[in-house]
Amino acid sequence: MNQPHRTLPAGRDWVDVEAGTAARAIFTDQAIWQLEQERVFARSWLFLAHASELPQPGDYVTRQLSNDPVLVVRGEDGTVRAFHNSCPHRGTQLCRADAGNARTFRCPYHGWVFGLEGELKQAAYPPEIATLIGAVGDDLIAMPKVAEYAGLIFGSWDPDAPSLDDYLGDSRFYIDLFANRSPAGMEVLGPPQRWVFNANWKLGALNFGADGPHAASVHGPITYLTLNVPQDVVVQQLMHSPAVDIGKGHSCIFLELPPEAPDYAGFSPQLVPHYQRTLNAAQQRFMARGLTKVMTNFPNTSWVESSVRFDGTSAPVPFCNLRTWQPLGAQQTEVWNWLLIEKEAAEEFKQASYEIGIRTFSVGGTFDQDDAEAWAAINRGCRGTIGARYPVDFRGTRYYRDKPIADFHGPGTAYPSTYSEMSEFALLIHWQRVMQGKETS
Amino acid sequence: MNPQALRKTIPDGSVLDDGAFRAVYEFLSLESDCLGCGDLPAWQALLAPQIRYRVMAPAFMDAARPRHYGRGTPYFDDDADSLAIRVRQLSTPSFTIAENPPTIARHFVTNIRAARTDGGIEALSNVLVLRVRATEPEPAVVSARRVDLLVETPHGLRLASRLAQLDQVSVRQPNLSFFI
Repeated sequence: MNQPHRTLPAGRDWVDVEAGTAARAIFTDQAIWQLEQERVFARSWLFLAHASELPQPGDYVTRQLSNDPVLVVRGEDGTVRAFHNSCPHRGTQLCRADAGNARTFRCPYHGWVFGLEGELKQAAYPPEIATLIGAVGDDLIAMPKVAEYAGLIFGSWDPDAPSLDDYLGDSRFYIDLFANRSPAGMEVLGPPQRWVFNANWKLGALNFGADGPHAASVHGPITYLTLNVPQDVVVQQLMHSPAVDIGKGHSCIFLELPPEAPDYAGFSPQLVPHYQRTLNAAQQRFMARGLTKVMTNFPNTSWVESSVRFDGTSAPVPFCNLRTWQPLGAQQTEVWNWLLIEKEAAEEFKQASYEIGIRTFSVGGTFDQDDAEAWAAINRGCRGTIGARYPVDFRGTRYYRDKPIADFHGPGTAYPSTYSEMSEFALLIHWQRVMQGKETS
Repeated sequence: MNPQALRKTIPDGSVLDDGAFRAVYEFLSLESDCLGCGDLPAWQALLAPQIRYRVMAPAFMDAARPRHYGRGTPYFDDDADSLAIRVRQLSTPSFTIAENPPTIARHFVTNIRAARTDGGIEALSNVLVLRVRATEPEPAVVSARRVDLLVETPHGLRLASRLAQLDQVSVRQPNLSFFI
């Protein structure tokens, strides 16, 4: 039932790698969106939940992967499983709460009851037809692959998907910088925020994959207001900071602290010893000199961490943001947005980090609010008949493609400027290869 | 103020006389008009220095077995400093993309109840915000429950605390670049 279609025709070249351009239709066309639902989202590993959201047996959360409802539940054996959140009988959405704790799930329509492992426990039918319907084996549609890395629970609809470790590949080096940097690990500060913008999901994924130049033009003013950093300084930082093609569509950029700033200047002194104990030497170098890091795990899981203040004088407070871009349609996306914190952090610091995270990257955030406006503007510029005739432009990649940093100190291929757009274009090239069937995911 | 306060139907404290209630009504109306007319500095002037401004997300739970985790889901959690930055950002054309051209966000306030407490006047209200943006032909509607603490000053009432809860788990908006 959950087998992806393997016989769809190969897509055309939407991304012109040599020219450094892409067809605008990739952001607006419903047929392309439908194909990518099969080829990208039905095959890739998709972020479901953080382990701290369901700590006890019976704890569950409901999620939306594109337009499919998903139930994520921790069983009595402690294993987290994921199911299509629909009854196998009539397809009724089974669980309609955002989160909870249960021993069974009861379909609201005909009362079929399922256990925590998705097994059908009860369906009242006459014995004459009990072998046909409502019998053993009429279990919930299970997500065939569910696995956890650093508290991050991912799932894939593809039973033949590579292991999560293989899928994440070298990006685990960088994921550790966000989510695997203290002995006890991270926890969510609360349930996810959700909001909807009218534009394609790839615009969010590419933006976090990451688009360097927009950070100056879109976020320069609020960076000045909060941190008193002039826009030309932001531009210089972005121009001389690395963009990393990690491989397999995973991409990131890093902004480093100014040379005069001490190591770990953006982080809580209480937590630094945990980083030093947990991360390897190469990772510590990124953490110690890191100012801002932004990453997308292909296809639609993104990260941003930075430090900001709102009172003009105190030390900036870091926040760690994790989000997914759920494609509701070719031109509509729902953001699911979490904030993470070290379990070891002091309560006061957790609250401070939460407040800074909400004030910056959230639906009401001073940084996020302008991003969504820009993406919706791209949608309007690309969706018309005339607009669709023209490409979107990554031509700067033609200059940088043969100029990787020779001695970069992390995995992947790094380029010397976020203005190169090399990392986000690499994500797009990988997307095309997956769409053409040249990569499985 | 405890988030449970959002479930209150009667404000804490003693009954207000008609004159005091009228002042509360006038304050909430003035505040809403400042927001609706886009005069954010005037709105900011109605805030007390100790302002705590929170807007929370709701959660849909099984009524028999709810499970909340973490610290809830705020959409806003601000103080005077961060609100000052927000007002400056949203009021300066070159500092904002979301609010240039400015959104029309008309606030309709109803169900006002108020009582006098030791800390000031507690006012409960509902608010409906009709939002029209330059780029979207369809108006959007956002509604919320609010619990406010108003303090009396020589210049009139000032907002010292607002705890609001939006009525949408998934906000059907690209951003909340306006106040509730």
